[in-house]
Amino acid sequence: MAKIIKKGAEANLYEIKWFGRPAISKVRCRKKYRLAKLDRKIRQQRTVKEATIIHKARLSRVPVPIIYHVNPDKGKIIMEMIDGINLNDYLNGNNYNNDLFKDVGEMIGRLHSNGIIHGDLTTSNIIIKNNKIYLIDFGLSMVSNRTEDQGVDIKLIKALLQSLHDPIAKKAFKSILQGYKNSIGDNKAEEVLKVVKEIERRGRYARVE
Amino acid sequence: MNKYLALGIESTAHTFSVSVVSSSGKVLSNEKDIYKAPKGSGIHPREASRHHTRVASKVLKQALSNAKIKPNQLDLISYSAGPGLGPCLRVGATVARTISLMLKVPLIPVNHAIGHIELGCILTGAKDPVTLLVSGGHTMILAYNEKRWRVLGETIDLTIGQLLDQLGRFAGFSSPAGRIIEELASDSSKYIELPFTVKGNDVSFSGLLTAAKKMINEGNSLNDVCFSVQETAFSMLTEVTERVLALTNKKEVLITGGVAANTRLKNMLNDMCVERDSKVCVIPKEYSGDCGAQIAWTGALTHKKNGEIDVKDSWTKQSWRLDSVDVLWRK
Repeated sequence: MAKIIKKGAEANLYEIKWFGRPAISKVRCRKKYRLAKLDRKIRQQRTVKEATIIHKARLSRVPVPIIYHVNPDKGKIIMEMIDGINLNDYLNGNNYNNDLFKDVGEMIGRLHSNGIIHGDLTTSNIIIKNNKIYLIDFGLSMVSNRTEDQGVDIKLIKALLQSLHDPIAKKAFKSILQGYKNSIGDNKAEEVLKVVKEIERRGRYARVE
Repeated sequence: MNKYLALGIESTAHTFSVSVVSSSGKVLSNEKDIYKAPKGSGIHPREASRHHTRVASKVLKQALSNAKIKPNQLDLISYSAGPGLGPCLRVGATVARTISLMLKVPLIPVNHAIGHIELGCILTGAKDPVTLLVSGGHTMILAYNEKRWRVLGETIDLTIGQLLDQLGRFAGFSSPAGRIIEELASDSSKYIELPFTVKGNDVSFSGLLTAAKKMINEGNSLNDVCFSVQETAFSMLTEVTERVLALTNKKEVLITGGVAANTRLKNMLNDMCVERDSKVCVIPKEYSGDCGAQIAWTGALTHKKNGEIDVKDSWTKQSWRLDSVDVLWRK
């Protein structure tokens, strides 16, 4: 039996060997709460999407795990193991480094410049290994060049930093924006930021200055 | 003041409710009268506020007599100060101000949404839950962190209550329509595919509503449409709740707000939590919808930290987001 290393929200991660290399087997398991028909569709779609877009991200020089094997019917992807610590755990351990956040912004900018929306930019989907940033978990990602979709991406990481890491949220987001501007350009970044404000205003009972 | 009696007045939307709660969190009475909109239409703020004015004194008297107390035994008065419909909020605030002046007891403005959460915690025993707040006004996934109830996920357009009510109105029922949709859905098991929109920890229901209306127009059975809408929307909510649970490493889920009365939603969240070794805490049905108890209890919590205001400075706010409120009573 492979060793389970993480029970994520939609998939279990197992540590395995793939032709001698340490690898991760990510299995989107059947969710009992969902109707079988809906469940199958969601698992298949996301598995295919994740594998396809991770590959596309890699071609855009964004650090992501290498995909070794995909089995849509089983909702399974076997990929390179990135043996690091996720940003959530890193921050909870009272670590902080502006440059890391700049890199995060730069990588998001690179994704967006290449028409990729991550779709789930939470602090637990960003891995730090040897001071280098890797992006994982592309299950909700999509191919789009719309400023609206890019804004949704940025809004999520901003909101999560505020909700989970309030003390450092402001400076961290500032660094992310710096890196983002570096890779996507000042004008485009301003456009996306405008949309972020708009999306925040759509929140229930929100008052955004 | 160790032991005291708190009166709470709720009037954010269709419900006018008054409740007496003890300082230990025991609900002594919880009276309500709900404005019913005409079939096929939603809540008209003016009409709802007129309804509240009409029933206010009756509900207040009943709440006091059910709690078996005299007005002069009350130690503090809280009212729902927002978010909600302006005309409705003002009725509750006016009643509260009057009682506060008459009895010379502290007046406390309470955030209605925080009321849903805190009442859920005291009634179910949830200590530090991921909270799914589902109602006509809210659809949020929350967790407490650093002095605030933090919004970790939410709807980016309609709330789940609006989705159900608007679908219900389209089919000719009156709001709130959650219960009738649940009944209709229980007679079907035929799933028709609908848009499933999860963005990070956020959900979107507007595409789902449009598609569901179209299905009704195309002559699909109402039972099948209601069933498919429930399955899709509740799967989305359960998924984002699980995402937040995994993200925050918490072990409890609290479901509160009017839609927490839905059995299918409760079952889905329960199935999800069983697989994650987490506990589900569901607010009892009689307290899931808007009620005075949520205001009275949160007022009592606030009062422990001196949250009172002078009548002349008291206010209501239609837009008052819960993550802008400092929660001083939690560690």
